[in-house]
Amino acid sequence: MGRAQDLLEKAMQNIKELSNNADFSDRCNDGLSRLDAQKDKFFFQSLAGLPSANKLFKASEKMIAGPNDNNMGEIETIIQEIEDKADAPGTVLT
Amino acid sequence: MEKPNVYFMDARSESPDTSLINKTVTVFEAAGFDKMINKGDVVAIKMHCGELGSSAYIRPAYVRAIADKIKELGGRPFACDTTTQTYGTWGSRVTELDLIETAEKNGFSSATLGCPFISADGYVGTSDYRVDIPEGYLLKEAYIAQAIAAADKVIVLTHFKGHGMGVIGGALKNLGIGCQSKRGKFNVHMGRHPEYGIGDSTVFHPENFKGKEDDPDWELLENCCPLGLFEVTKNDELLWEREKCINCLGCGSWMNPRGIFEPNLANFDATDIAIADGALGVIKAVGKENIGFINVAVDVSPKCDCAGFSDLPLVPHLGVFASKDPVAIDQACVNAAMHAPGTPGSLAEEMGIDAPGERKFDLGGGAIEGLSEQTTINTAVVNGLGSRDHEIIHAQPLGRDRFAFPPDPRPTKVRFAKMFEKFQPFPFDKHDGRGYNRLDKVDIDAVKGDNITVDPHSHQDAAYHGDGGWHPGDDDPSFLPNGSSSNGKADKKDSKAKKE
Repeated sequence: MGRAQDLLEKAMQNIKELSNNADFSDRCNDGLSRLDAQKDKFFFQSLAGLPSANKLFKASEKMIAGPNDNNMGEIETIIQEIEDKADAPGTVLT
Repeated sequence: MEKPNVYFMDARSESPDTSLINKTVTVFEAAGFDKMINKGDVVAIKMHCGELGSSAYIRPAYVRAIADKIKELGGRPFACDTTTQTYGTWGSRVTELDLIETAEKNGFSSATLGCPFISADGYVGTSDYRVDIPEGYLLKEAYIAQAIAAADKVIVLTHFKGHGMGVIGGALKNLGIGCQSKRGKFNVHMGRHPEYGIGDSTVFHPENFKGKEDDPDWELLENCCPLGLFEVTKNDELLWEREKCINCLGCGSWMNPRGIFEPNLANFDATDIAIADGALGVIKAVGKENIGFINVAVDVSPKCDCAGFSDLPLVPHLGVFASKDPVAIDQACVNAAMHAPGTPGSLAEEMGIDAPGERKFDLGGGAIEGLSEQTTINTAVVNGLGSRDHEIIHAQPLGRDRFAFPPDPRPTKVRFAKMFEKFQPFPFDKHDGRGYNRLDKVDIDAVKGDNITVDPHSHQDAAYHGDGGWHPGDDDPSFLPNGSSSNGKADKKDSKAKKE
């Protein structure tokens, strides 16, 4: 597994853990299914997705340390960014 | 074996002779390139003019400084770049016409460089010189751009940065890709190679094509290939005549994100190796004694100037380097980047490689995982092009006198006393010889801190507050745009000022 996919996987594990929190369960599960649809794309197979995976991982760690609406919103924003970027035409080589 | 020297000056600047442009000339001399150039020599300055939209490419002023130096030595310089493969769908340097137009848009012309800028491999990219390289690690022949092979001397003037495929864009890549003709570039990129060519080695997933209805860009999947090897059938099947693929890379940006191609590490790695072989071809064609290398390691962007955009630099400016050894100079730059901290907010930070000591280009430059910033450098060592081990020599500034304004190096009084006597630009005859209408004293501290401690519009004799309504000292309303102020307030001020 590549570095970006590996980090995405870790972020998804964190979000799965967070889904045990009843206050955020639905939003976490929704995020997980959206990420599941992205994880095998070239975006994460290449290095193009590593910054996003990194950001998501850090945001999920932040959410574990302080589960609140703001931190959950940050995770959702990054998931949206991933969806926007993953299918976009690449650069010269990606 | 004696270590090759790499002459270096850092990126700090505090006087004209330590400007980065003048430092570039300084390391040129320190490395002995001035002794290499004889009167009458035709000297190619190989540079990268940048894809349209990129902004980190080498500034024309660096090229001009080297061209001026060559002319001072009696040489006849020309600056050049080469035509590219199609690479993307809308390449801006694919033909000579594209290249010259892009170069001019990016600031490179005879007027700015003081020498012609030419396409070194002709209109299409087939003006070249074939050279056998039995010593090559993977390639056994190379096609060198004609103008470079024909030059008496070559200065490889490189903007050092990262690269999606080459991982680093340094002197070796400027030789191994930049000095190859278009025909030569297909060779280096592994076109039709049985093991490493995209056509032969890429894992193809046509089932990931969603069909015309669900893919609004489907026509581009057909139109991205200059040979027309892709076809979308009536039944929404994506066909690819892969056995004819020449590795132009035009399709990757469409196929990869759709998952139609899998990342092809073997093709990338083999190309990085072949870059060193292509570099060997240039050295053989021109002669090692006839080439000098300068790396300008500023604006160290993650991807190459061929990308059509330039991201925040991975590391702060590193400085300028010069050497007769292309391996040593690239290794010196890679080392300098590794020891530098990553630029805050850059890809270096996002990738987690911002700490000093981290390799910056494996992840920051390379497009796919598993590439190495050392592959081309190491292959060049195997090819006998130079040594990774090197001595860094800190070049010393040449002194301010060396960098006086070249068209008229006379000091100020000699140049301007007579002229100012005749055409005095300072209005001595006004305001008791002080020249201008100004207040004697203002509250400077009021506008220096985080907070402004003077009220807007309270300063009657300087009523212009950036709102475009009124200019200090102007009491003629007809001077205002459309004969009136841009807001009602300024009219009031204006009439008040008039009374005063």
